[in-house]
Amino acid sequence: MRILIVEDESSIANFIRDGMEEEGFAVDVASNGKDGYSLAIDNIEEYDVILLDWMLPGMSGIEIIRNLRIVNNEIPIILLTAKDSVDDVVFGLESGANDYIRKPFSFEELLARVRVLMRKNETGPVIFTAKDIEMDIEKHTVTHNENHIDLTQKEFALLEYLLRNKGKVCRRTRIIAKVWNIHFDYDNSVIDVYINALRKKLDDHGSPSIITTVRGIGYKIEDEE
Amino acid sequence: MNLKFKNRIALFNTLAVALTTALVFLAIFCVVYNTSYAHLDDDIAIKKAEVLRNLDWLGDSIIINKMPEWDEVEHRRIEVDPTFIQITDSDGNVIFRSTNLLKEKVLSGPKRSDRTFYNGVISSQRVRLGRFPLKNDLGNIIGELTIATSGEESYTVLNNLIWVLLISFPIVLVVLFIASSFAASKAISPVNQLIRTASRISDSNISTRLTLPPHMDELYDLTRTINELLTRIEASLIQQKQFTSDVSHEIRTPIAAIRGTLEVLARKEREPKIYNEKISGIIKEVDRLDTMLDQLLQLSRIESNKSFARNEKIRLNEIISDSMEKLEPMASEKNISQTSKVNENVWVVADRIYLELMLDNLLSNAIKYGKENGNVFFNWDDEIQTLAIQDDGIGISHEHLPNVFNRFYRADESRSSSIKGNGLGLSIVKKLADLQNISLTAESIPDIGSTFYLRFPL
Repeated sequence: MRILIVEDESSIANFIRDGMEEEGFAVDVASNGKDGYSLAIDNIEEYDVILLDWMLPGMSGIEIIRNLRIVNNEIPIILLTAKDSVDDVVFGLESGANDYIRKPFSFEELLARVRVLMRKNETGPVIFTAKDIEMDIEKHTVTHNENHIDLTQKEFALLEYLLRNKGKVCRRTRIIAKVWNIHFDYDNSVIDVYINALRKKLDDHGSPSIITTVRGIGYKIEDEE
Repeated sequence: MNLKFKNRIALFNTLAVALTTALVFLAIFCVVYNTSYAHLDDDIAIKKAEVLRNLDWLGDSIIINKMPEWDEVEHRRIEVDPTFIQITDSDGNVIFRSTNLLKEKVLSGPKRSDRTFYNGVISSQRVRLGRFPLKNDLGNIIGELTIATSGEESYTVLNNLIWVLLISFPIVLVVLFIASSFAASKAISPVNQLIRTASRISDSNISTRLTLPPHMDELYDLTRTINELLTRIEASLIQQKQFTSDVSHEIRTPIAAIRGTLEVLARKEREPKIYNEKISGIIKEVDRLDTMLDQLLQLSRIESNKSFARNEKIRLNEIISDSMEKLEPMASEKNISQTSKVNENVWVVADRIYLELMLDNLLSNAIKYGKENGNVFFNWDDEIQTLAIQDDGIGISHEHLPNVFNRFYRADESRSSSIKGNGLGLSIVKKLADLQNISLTAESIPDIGSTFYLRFPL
């Protein structure tokens, strides 16, 4: 799951990025309006949520929303801002934002709102299962036959992406786009490393892996039904 | 009296007209009165001449040469415009009366009055009387001749006139009061309109303006003045709103950063290195808040003590050296060298504390936006009494330059916020300069550097 943060205050962008990465999100940060807009417009399909500061140098958050909404109506956008009057909230929402958070805000609240928007957007469950594996996104846990399994951030994000697309083949390029951020240097073999690590943690000895390789294309988790 | 404006106008108007009307009515009455009695008096005088022609006297005795026409009808009847004649001797005994007077009392004039003509009543008929003393050749009074003629007609005319005047007077005044009240209310109705519109204007629709009346009169001026006042109020409201929103933004941002960083940090156990890194970041944010609070307090202090700038003779280089010393730690971080080329014997007149504050702010600005290994120079131009603070830093672009003295304006926003400023420093400098009549200007070329000029008053 990939998030774009457009925020000129590095101290704020940093903690959101740290927190979101810990939750398994791939995070891109833009520190001004113009960079933020071009990142968003170029990768609109890859992002699941955009967090947008209102007062940005170069291009305001409102301008970015209006321009993005011409192209894409689905992507959830949350406005982060120190503006707090009712007029501002209304104006922000009417401009096309899906949600509005006033600074200073609680990170947990931000996370919850991001999750709500993603759930609305995908209308998918928050708990994914495949064979004996159960993944709870809200609790950020993975269990195998009710035994807790420790996963790194990237492993978690990779598994989440595969489970969200259960039954479908996930192309390597899509996996890169969704799980890694913009600074990833495109060494595709990294995916294989993480897939192997996941298989080691999830699979029973001797039985076939939960993740199957689709040669030359990517990976997939079978839908058992 | 708590009268409405229009009624007050109407009342004054009515009082003035009442006075004039009363005078005019009085004049009319006097003229008519005098004219109508003058006619009667003339008639009596003619009659008197006629009577006197038929009178003779011998010593103190009056001899009446009786004239046949005296017995004419007109003297016998009282109904139609009769003339009454009575002659008395010096003792008041009647020696002659015209026939139409036979049944009447003796006519006697008002006592102790020497008026010739007066009014009286005969057979309940109003008459005008004239009395004339009869004198013998020696000039002794030997009797009195009284002639009366009917004044009924004149009396009726005058009586009617009085009634007309007395009745019309209040009617005129009432009508006038209503009319002037109506006219006044018509005249001030644009004012009422103005009051209604103006009273509807509040904080939320302060941008409303009153419609200017079509004629360039006092109302036009009043409306325009109110509109100008509204414009000024609106501008200061907007400025205040902007300031509040800027302050809240500037305070909330570091607080949001501190809160979020701590929250994410506390989500799980971290390595000591991470704690150190995050904590020093938080300390920086706290410092930033502290600096901004200081500057806000300075600003409000300056604004509340507007009139208070002392005029002191100051050796300029002394203050520059103090500032450079204060900011040396900040300058050495970026290895920026500070040089003053100001002569030792340059003196300026200013407020020492304010000037210090200005130089501190300008210098810290020059260092903050300076490049590594850069320079800051102080130059003095004696001819135009101007101090130049020149740096070779990142500069300010042409579009931002006019705004750098505005509160919370930060020209560096496009460079992200790697440089932590809040845009208050230069606005403080500007305010202090204004207080001391120092003209403050700036020149800048992006990437080459900026120069700030302080021109001291002569």
